[in-house]
Amino acid sequence: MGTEMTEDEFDILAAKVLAGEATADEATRLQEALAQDAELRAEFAELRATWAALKDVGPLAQALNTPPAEPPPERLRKWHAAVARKRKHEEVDFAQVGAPVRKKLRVSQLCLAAAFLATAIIAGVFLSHRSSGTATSAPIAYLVARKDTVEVRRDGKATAVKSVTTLCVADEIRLSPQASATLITPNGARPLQGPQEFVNVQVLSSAAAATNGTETKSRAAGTALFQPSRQLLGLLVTMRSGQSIPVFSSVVVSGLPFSAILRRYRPSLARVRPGHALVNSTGDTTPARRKGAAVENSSMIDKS
Amino acid sequence: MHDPTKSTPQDFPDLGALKAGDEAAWQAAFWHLWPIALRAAQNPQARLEDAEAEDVASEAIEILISKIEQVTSFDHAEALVSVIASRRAISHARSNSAAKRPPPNNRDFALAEIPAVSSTNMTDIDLCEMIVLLRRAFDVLDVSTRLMLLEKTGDGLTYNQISKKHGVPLGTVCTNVARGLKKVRAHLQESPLLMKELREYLR
Repeated sequence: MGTEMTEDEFDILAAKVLAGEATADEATRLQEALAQDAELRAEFAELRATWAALKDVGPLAQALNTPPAEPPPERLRKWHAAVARKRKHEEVDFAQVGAPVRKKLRVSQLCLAAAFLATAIIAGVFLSHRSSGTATSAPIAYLVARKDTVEVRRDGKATAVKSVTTLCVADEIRLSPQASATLITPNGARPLQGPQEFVNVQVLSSAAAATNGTETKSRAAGTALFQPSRQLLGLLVTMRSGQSIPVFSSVVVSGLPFSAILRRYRPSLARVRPGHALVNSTGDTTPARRKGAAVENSSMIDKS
Repeated sequence: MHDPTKSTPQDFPDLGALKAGDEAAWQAAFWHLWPIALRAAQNPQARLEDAEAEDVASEAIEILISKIEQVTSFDHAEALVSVIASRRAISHARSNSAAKRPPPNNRDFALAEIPAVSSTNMTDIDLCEMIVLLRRAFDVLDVSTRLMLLEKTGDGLTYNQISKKHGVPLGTVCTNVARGLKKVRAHLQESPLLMKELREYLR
């Protein structure tokens, strides 16, 4: 604040100048004060911006405080009709995508299985396509460790380390002195303790076989973890026909085939629209219980 | 059969229910939105007839229904309906003016006399944010300061007129307005980007 102008004087002059009601002398007085004081200039600039905002939208902001009032009945009917039309329009859009598949699903279990198989084939192609870019797409092991205690090198370069890191044939790992990790291989799990300098993963994996020697208890899990993506087609189809894996609604089957294969939903928590239903892998349906139900975050089987 | 148009609003409408197309939620919302839209449509700059303002307010609510997915809170919905109604009122007034426009040498109501809702050309999103912030600012101002600010900036009264109306000295009116302005500025500063945009526009 300028030493030659009190706050009260500045307030009065600023209010008059902003309103365009200042005399020539008052305007000059404020101008001189602003020229001498950068802080005052900044303050005046902000008051000017606030004044402009108030002039523009102050009445609208004030309108927001208008108390609720009953609208005319004919207007109410019109708006409710607009809401209904909008809801119906959205449902029609939804139905247009999913109807053909839903219709087929109702016809027979055979059609259901065919739809699943077709979707699985598409997903298989998708997964195969995804993995084609890397020659070493089949994981040889998984490393479970705190990411700041482990370094993984691939083709001589450090790669990103996550809490669970997928390892390929030529990868090397280095464990810091405090590192404590677990290597999961097709032959079993092997505990690792730091410090260890850049050990070849294939060697470690073989060593796990030699020391552990036990077969993986779950062949299905082993297949899921270690088979190349392109060989997972059968597994995916198998999973879909299991009782415990629900299948998302038909819109996903028809519109987003990969999601239908890769995501798991709990039917009781999935978001379904009124008038629609979840269809599980045995063809049973779960009608939507209420509108806008909470959605369960999906878990994803993703081998990337 | 339940007629949703016969029930009265119970609580503040839930945005999730509105987005799901819940009739009862919309019924409550309409009671809140209607007076706001109507007041915005009665923009003195637009000079619409009462029936025209009602039509404009009603259209604004229909537009809001179609845009409800874009709304982030019910405050935002109220702000948006006021912006839509105000813009449409101005647009309607411009159409009326163009339709009735007499020959150039004899017209007394030029199009240029009707200003846009915002001289700052802000987006609807920015405008809605500003409206919500201003509304909060008004809530913390004392009644007389808020009235004086709105009479000055909104109604365009002179300080002398406000001084006479409230029976207080001219200097007190100016001081009240300036201090109210500073409090409003403090609220607008909650959105530094908005403030920066305003300052840059006014530079």
